[in-house]
Amino acid sequence: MPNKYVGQPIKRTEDPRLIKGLAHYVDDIKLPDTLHVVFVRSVYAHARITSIDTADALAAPGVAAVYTGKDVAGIGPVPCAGALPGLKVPDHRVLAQDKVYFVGHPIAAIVATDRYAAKDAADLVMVDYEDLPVVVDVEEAANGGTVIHESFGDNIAYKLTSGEGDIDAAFASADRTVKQRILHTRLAPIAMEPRGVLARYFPGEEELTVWSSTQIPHLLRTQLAIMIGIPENKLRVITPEVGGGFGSKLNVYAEEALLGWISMQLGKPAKWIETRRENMQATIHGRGQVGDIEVAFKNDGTLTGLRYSVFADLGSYHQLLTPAIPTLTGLMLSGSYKIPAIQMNVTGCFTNKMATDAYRGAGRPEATYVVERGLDLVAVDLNMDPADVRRKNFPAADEFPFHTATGLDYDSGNYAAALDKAQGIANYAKLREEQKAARAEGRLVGIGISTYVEICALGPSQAMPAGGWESATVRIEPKGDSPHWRFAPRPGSGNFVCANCCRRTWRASQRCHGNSRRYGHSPIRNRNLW
Amino acid sequence: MKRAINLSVNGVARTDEVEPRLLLVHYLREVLGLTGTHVGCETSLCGACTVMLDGQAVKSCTMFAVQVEGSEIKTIEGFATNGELHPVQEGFWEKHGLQCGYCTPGMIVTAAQLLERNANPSREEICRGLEGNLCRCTGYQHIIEAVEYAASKTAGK
Ligand code: FES
Ligand code: FES
Repeated sequence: MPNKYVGQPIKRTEDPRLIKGLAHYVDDIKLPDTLHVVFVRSVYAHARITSIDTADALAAPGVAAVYTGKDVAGIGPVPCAGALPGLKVPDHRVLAQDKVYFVGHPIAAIVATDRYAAKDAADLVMVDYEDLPVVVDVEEAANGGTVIHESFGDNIAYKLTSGEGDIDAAFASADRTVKQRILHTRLAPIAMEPRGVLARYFPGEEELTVWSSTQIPHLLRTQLAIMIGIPENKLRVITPEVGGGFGSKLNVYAEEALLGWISMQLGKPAKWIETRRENMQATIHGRGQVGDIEVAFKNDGTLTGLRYSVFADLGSYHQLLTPAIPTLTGLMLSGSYKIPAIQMNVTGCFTNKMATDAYRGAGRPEATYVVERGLDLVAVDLNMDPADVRRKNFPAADEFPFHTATGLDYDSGNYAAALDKAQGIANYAKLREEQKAARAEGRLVGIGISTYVEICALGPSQAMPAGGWESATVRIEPKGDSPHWRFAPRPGSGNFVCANCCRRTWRASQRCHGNSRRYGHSPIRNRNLW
Repeated sequence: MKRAINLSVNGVARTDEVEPRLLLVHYLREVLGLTGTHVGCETSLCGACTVMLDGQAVKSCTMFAVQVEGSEIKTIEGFATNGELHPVQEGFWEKHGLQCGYCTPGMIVTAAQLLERNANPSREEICRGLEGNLCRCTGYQHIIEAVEYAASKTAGK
C-alpha cells in the first residue's frame, strides 16, 4: 500500500475547532437542569471514620442530595483487570466505607444546583477520623509495617517471579558481577485537562449516557454497566475532546460510576469536573518501583545474566491495571540484548497512597532504565566504552526472530546498524574527544547512551493475553461523501492510518471517535498512532 | 447579593447580574457560554484560562467577574475575524503547535500579546513570553515555531 500519510507532515482536520476555542471537552457540554457534584475527600492517608454528619450540608441552599459510603452499596466495586496468581484484591467501593486509605479517598458526594453551592455544602460535611499509622515507604510496607487491609494480614498484594534461563548458574559462573539500587520515582501524570464526567439518564427509555474524559470509552461502557447494574445496550459512553491522558485516563474510576448512578437516582444530568488538587490526589500515579539490579558478565563484556528484584508501590487499592504494570517491566528486561538468563522478582505492596497504574509506557520504560543502567555499570566496571558494551550484546541481524529470556520473540531488527548510524550522526568519536578536553579543563561533560525496544499496540497474544481488538467502520452515505467513522478517542493524537488505508484524502476521512455505540478499543500503547 | 457588571466581550456589550464571588472564567464559560477558555489548575499556574483584558493577557481563573467592570475582554472565540484566522492561530495550525488543544487557547492569547509588544521576538523572548503557559503534550518546540511563523507572517503583510 503506498504510504501517503503516515509520517508525513499533515495539517490536522481537527485543529480549526481547537484553535478557535470551539471544540467541546466534557466541561464544555451543557445540558439543561444539570446538577453538579463535589466530593468530600479524606485529609488523612490512613484513618478510621468514626462519624460523618451530613445534616448541615443537606440543608444548605441548592443541595439536592448527599451520598456517603452506606448509600452506594448497590454500586459494584471499582474493577481490577490484573489476574495474577494469588493476587489480593481489596474491595474497592466507590465511596469510603469505614476506613480511608489515602489522601483524596472520596468519602461523600454532594449534589447541588451549581458547583459553588455544592462546594459550599461540601465544607459543611463533618467527618470525624481516628488517625492510624501511615505506610508510605514500599519496603516498610513489605516488611512488617502497619497492615493497611487488615483481613489480608500483611501488605503484600502479590509476589511473582518471571524469566527464563538458569539464573543461579549464570551468577555462579560469571567472571564478574555488578549490583545497583534503582529508584523509579512515583509521579502524577497531570494531563492539562483534569478528569470530568457528565451523565444523563432517561428514565422512560431506561438509557444512560456518560460523557467522560477517558481514553477507553468501550471498556468503560462494559465496566460501568457491570458496576451500576444496567444492560450494556442501555449505556452509551461518549468521549468528547480529551485534553491529554498519558495513561491516567486509561482507567475505570469510582467517579464515573457514581455520576451515572447519581443521574439515575435523581433523574437529572449530573456533572463532576475534577480540580487540579483532586487530580494529583485521586487520579492514578505512575512508576513507583524500588529495586535492585544484578548483572553477571564475562571479562569481555558479554552479559550472562540479569536479576531485578523490585518492590512495586501499588497504593492502597488496585485500579484497572495496577498489579499488571510491573509485569510489563519483567517482559521488557532483555531490552535490545542477548541475555541468556533473566529473572525478575516482584513484590507488589499496598501503601497509603493513590493507586499506581499505566503512565507513559506503563512499566516498559522502567525496564529500559534497569537494563541500560546495568550496561553502564558493566562498562564502568570493565573500563569499556558504553557503546561497545551495547554492541557486544546485540543479537546479530541474522539471529532474528530472536527469543528473549523474558519469553518474547522479537521478529526483526538490526540494532548494530542503528547504533552505528546514531553514532555517526552524533559524531560520537568527536564528542568523546570534546569530553576529554572539557574534563582536562575541569568541566564535567557527560554522554548518555540508551537503546530502546518497545512492545506496542498490545493485542491478545501468547506473550500478553490482554488488549482486545480494535474496530472501525467506514460508511458511504447516500450523498456520496465518505464520512470515516473510527472508534477510538483522541487524547491529542491524529489518526493517520485511516486515511492511508482508505486511500482517501486526509480531509475526507472525517472521524467520529470515542463513541461506544460501536465497540472498539482505545489508543492505548500507541495502537492508533499518536 | 448579586451585582451588575457592564463590559464588552469580543466586541459585544454585556450587562449581567453576577455574584461577587463568581470567577471571571466561570462568568465567561457558564454565563456567556464561551467555553474556549479552559481551566487547568484554578491557581494561576497553567495559563489555560488566559484572556485579553483591556489589551493585557490575564489569567481569568483568579479574577472575579466584578473586577472587570467597564473593561474590554477578548477571548479565543474573538480571535478569528470574518472567518479569517489570526496569524497566531494560523501558526499553530501550520506548525503543529498543538496536540490535545487544551492549552492552546491560552497559548494563542498570550502569544498574541507577546507579538503586539514585540513584533520580531527571538526564540528566547518567545520562551520567556510564554513562561506562564504550560503544555503537557507538545514539548513546546512546535509552539515556538508557531509564534515565529505568526511573527514572520505579520511582518510580511
Ligand atoms: S486555570 Fe488559570 S492559570 Fe491554570
Ligand atoms: S496541546 Fe495538550 S496540553 Fe498543550
